[in-house]
Amino acid sequence: MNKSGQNFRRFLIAGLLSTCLLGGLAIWLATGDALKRLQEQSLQSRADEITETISRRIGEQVNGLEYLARRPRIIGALLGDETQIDNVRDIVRTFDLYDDLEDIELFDFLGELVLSERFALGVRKKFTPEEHLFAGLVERVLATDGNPRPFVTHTHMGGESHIIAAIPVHRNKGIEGVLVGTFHLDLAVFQSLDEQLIDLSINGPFQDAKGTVDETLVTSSVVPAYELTIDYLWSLDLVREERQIMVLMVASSLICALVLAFGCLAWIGQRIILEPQRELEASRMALTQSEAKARELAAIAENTQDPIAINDLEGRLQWGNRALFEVYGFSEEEMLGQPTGPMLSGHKTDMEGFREAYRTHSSYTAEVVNYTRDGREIDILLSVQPVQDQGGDVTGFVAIGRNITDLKQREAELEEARARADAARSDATATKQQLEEAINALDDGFVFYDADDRLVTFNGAYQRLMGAMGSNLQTGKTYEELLRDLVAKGIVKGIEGSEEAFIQNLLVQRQTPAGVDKTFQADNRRWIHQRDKRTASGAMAGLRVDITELKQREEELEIARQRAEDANHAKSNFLANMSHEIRTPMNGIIGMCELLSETELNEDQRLWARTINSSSEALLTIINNILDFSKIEAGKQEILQEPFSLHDVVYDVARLLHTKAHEKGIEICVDYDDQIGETFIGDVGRVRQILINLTGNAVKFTEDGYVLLQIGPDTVDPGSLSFSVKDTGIGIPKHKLNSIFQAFEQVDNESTRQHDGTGLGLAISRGLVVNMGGDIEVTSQEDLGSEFRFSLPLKPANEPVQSPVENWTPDWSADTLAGKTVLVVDDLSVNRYIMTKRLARVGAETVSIADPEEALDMVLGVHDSPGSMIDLAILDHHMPGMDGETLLVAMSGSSGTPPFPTILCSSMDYSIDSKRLSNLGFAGVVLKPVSTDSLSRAVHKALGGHATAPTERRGPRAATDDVATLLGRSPEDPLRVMAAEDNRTNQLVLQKMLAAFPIELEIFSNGQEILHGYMDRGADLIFMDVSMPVMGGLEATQAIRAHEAETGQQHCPIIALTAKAMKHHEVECRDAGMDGFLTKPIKKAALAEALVSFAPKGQDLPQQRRA
Amino acid sequence: MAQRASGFYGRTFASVLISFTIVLGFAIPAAAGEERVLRIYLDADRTENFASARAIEMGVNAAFSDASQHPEGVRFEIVPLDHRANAKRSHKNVRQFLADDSGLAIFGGQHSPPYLNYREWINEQGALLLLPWSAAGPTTRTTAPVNWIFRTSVDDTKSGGFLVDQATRVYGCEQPALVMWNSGWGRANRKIIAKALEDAGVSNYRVEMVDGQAPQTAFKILAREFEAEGSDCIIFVGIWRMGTKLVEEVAALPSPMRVFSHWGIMGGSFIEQTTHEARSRVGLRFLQTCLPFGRDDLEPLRKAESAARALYPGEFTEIENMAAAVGFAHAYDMGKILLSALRQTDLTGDIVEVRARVRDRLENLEAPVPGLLKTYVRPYSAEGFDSHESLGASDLCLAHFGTDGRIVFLTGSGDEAVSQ
Repeated sequence: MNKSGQNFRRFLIAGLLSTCLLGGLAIWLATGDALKRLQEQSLQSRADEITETISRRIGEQVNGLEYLARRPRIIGALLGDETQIDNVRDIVRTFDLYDDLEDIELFDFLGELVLSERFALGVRKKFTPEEHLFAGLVERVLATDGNPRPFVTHTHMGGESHIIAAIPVHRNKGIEGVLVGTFHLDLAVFQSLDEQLIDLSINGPFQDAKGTVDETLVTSSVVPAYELTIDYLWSLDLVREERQIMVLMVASSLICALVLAFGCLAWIGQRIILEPQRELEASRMALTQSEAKARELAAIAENTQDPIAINDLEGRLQWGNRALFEVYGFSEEEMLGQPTGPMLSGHKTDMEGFREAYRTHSSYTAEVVNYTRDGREIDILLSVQPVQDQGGDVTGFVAIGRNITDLKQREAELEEARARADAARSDATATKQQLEEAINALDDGFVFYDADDRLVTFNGAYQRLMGAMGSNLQTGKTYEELLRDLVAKGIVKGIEGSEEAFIQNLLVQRQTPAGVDKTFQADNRRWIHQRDKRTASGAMAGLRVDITELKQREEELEIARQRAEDANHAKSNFLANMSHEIRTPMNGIIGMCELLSETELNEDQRLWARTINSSSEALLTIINNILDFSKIEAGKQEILQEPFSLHDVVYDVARLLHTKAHEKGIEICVDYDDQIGETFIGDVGRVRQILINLTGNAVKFTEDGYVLLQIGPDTVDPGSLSFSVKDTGIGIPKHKLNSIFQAFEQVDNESTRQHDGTGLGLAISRGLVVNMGGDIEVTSQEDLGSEFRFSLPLKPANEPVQSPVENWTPDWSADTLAGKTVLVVDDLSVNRYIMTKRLARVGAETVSIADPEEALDMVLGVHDSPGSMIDLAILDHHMPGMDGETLLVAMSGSSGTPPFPTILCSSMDYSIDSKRLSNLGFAGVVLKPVSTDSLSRAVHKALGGHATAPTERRGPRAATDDVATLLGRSPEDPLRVMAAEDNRTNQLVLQKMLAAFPIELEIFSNGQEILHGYMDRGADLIFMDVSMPVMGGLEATQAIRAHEAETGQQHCPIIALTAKAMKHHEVECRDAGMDGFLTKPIKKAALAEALVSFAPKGQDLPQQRRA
Repeated sequence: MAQRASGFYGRTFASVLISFTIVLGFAIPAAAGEERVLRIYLDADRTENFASARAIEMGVNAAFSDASQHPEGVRFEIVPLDHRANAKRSHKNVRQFLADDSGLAIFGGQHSPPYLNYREWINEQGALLLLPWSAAGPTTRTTAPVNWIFRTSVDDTKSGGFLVDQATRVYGCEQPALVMWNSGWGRANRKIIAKALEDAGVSNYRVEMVDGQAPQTAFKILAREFEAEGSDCIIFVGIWRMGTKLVEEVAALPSPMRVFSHWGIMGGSFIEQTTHEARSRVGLRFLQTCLPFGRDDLEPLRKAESAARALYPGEFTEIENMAAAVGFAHAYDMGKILLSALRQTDLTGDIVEVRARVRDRLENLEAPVPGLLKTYVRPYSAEGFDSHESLGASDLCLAHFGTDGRIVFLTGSGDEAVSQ
């Protein structure tokens, strides 16, 4: 045993002894008071338990007495009824059931004894109720009058304990007496409950407490319900003895535990502390020796330039020298514990040799490719040696590397350079030769300067193009030397300013990054385009292109363009002038012709007048077309964007051309898809123009059959509408189809042409469609017919456009005719198709029949059956074999009443006598082409609906005869109108046209005259020509407006009358202050409309006239 | 409970206050130096039968309210005491009165037992006891040399006979059931009524002595037994609390029998605790001294009422509305009789002597005393069975309660029964 072991044992024994001594002493001292307190608490709680038992016992007795006190007879006895005393005694005697009951006394409210009953005679010593105890108790209970409560006390008499309970006998809270019961309480019984209890005593009111006895411990408990205190006397000897035993037990337990604990400590100390300490000492010495050796080795390894690593058997790095981390770039923390092989080696190294060395614990040396931390490859000559411990066991491997990267790289570079030199030599020769050939083959000049701006090469073309300059070129010279040489020799021409400045300017240009890009004329008069550009190495490659011919063409083109523009101007002016110049005489011709027609004429004269009129109209149309076409050509066509009713336009066009079609015996059918809506935004005039052109053409070229207008959604472009004008006419030969839209093209261009026209219609239509963003195409088969289809991107308008004639449209929705069956009889299939489709859209079933006789048979057959399925019939007027009227009469039979409401569909518009048709039994007549409005109104009317009468709109459609009414004038009160017109013929026309109206007309020859006339006399309305000598219409209007402003005169409506029909003309007129705009030739209806629209009514006359 | 107690004390305090007011009122004419205070004690149950005690108090105060009637040089104080229906407490009160050298007389309450029990002692002690209500016959009859107990009420010997007479003769009851309070008063009445029945030739009757504290169920059982036995009327002598239970249980029978009651039902909350329907079903008739309604001379009644109204504004309205009208009437009349005697007596000297002189004067009142019920001519005398009784059988009436709880006197014996 060594010295430390001995010390350890001594320490343990000393500790054990001192702990025992001190612990025992501490227990002895510390537990004294605590144990005493614990004992006292224990005794107190034991006392409380006994008190609780005593309290219960007393409570039982008191409850019994309280019950007795509530007995009515007891109360009766106390109220002075002597007769009740005996009864009360009987009741009281029943209380001997209570074993401990000794006495019962009943006192009246004066405290006088009413009754006294004694129990358990001869068992215990009795005491008399006169004793002070009773008096005090009764008095105390009586004092609780109004709030009665019992009192309980205890007395110790004759060596025995007695409980005395005084119970109030009360009536309505008023105490009438006191019932006092005395019970024996055997305290010995309670005392025996605890062996340490020497004695117990009960203290109540009117009793002095007992003094304590020496060598006893007293605890007290209170009986909560009563004023009783119970003192408990406990034996101090017993308490003390108990305490000593407890202390001894605690001390002995403690010492046992300590001895055991120290024994364990000694054993554990030997095992855990002493033995390891010895071993530690031995190993520390060994370590010191090996450390000295290791330090030497480490110093060597640490300072070598070659990376050294010591790995464990698994190849994980255990130690590495500084060179290792420097070479590979990893920190020591990153590498330690990591397997060096996978960490440093890549796929270029065969690791098998090293793995074998690790497996066999042998040495191995090889060149390997390793990777540094930043991914750089390094070549290492690596030698691995096993490391053995003292016992000869291999504990790891030492790996010593040598960085041979530089060596390897130099070797590789050398090899590469050698190979490159060989290859370059052969490539360069071939390339140069090819390059030279290519450069020389170029038509354009090529020149090349090196980075030092020395001329390297140039081709023959360059030399040729540069003329004299080309012959002075010399390779190896710098550009500046060459330039100065050329300047000096005077080869460079046209130098402005000093030669040096010229040279410097060129040199600066040459230095710009973009190089040189310019055109110049060489001394040989050739135009050369020079393009010089720097290469990446700073050399300059240049091209010289001969653009002399290009230059010449440009110049020619410019001259041609200028000429064309001039010509176009002249054409526009010519057209405008021609338009004006032709319109003016045309105004005269048409106006005169209208007037002539209103005079008495014979048949011939009427024919001639009509011919003049139609010829004039035709001429005007041609002029208008030419004007339109020229505007389209010039791109001056203005497309308006305003809401309009496409529906109305389509039917207007159909109606317009209807007469012509009717004359030819063909029909114009309209299939307008109601789903697209009615109103759109666009140029209504242009749309109308296109439709009139196409439909007019169709009517013109159709001799038999029909013309069908179809308007619906464009299936290809949802934002557009599709228009189709189809006819059953002569068709268009295939070879004409491509040129049909060109100007002045007609199908029958030959000298035998049957159809007149300018040949501009289709060209204008196409131009308009294209201008509106649409497209037009045609399909046709000769002798079968043509179809012109076009699409227009028209946007639906939100606001409805009021129809000029009708403003009432009945319900015409998807279920308007739901459940109805309509009979459609029409010989023309396209009409039946359109009508069927239309009726189907509003929910009707259709029975469609071509042959009137078949229809009659069907109707008569159906009519005989009980449930006639036909609700309505729509009959065509003109049908082969049997017309609509005859069919109706036949269907009506002998009754004369048609079996169902019937509508007649007629092309004979205005000639139809509606009254006669009504008499025949028709419920309504609709005119072809049947518009949705007219059809819906007729159907509603026929089926019993109500159609309001169409209201005539004031203004555009006002009849001439109504003008007087609308103006509110009479011949006696005429409207004062002034007109300015320089042309005598037009003056006459105007005068005649206005003669029918209730006006007083004054005509002036120019603006100045009318201005003076107006300032002098005033007028209700003015018609103003625009182009007039002395003072034009615009100027005169401005002067009139100024005069009105100065004098406060009422605004006089001024309406332009002009042959200038262009849009900007109207704008100019309105800007000048005019209110209306009429173009020549002037129509009477237009004049009437203007009068009605603008003239002040009777009550609005200007002030000065009234005066 | 506290509320009830405070109410009780409140009423007591009010009574004392009023009493002092009266005393001060008629003390003014006397010379301050010579004025003698005489105390009149009231001994009654002011706890459970407050209405009767209060009625007596009102009556006495009303009688003494007219200062012009007071003897000269005397100031009266009226001292109400509560015996809580306890004879012993009453006895104590009487002792207190006797010990007071200003104590002139003591009025008794509704209850008879206190005075019946201590009758001899009272006479020995020379306590001038005036009974305006208690009806036990023997109280005013004594073997002692001097009788100190006077009564202005109808004693049971007469009332019992009257009740039996009304029940049997007028209402034709043949098999009455007697319900008697098991007390001295009740037992005394039992004898009187039993004798009256026998005199009337009715032998088939049943007698039940019932404790004052008897529960409701006791009366339920009794009512059923009476019905089963074929009793055709009930004659009841007891206090109001017993009366309410009896009336309620009899009214609950399918065919209730008529109930004739002594005036013991008055004096408490009988009206409040019974319904008019129940009272009607049992055809309740009760004993009252006849108030002078229907007579020509209502002047004394109106005067008494007016005096009471002035003293007890709001509390006293008119006599018919009182729960204990007889108490008021008797006490008022007795007060008047006492006052009349005092006016004729020398009130100087030792109180014992004064009491003796007043007692003697009461037995020898020459001048008639106009009272509320009647004018008393020699109300008391020294000799004879009824020498200390100022009212007799002829002063008795039957009454019933109207729908509003007011007392309705039946005019003339038997008239009402005939009219029924």
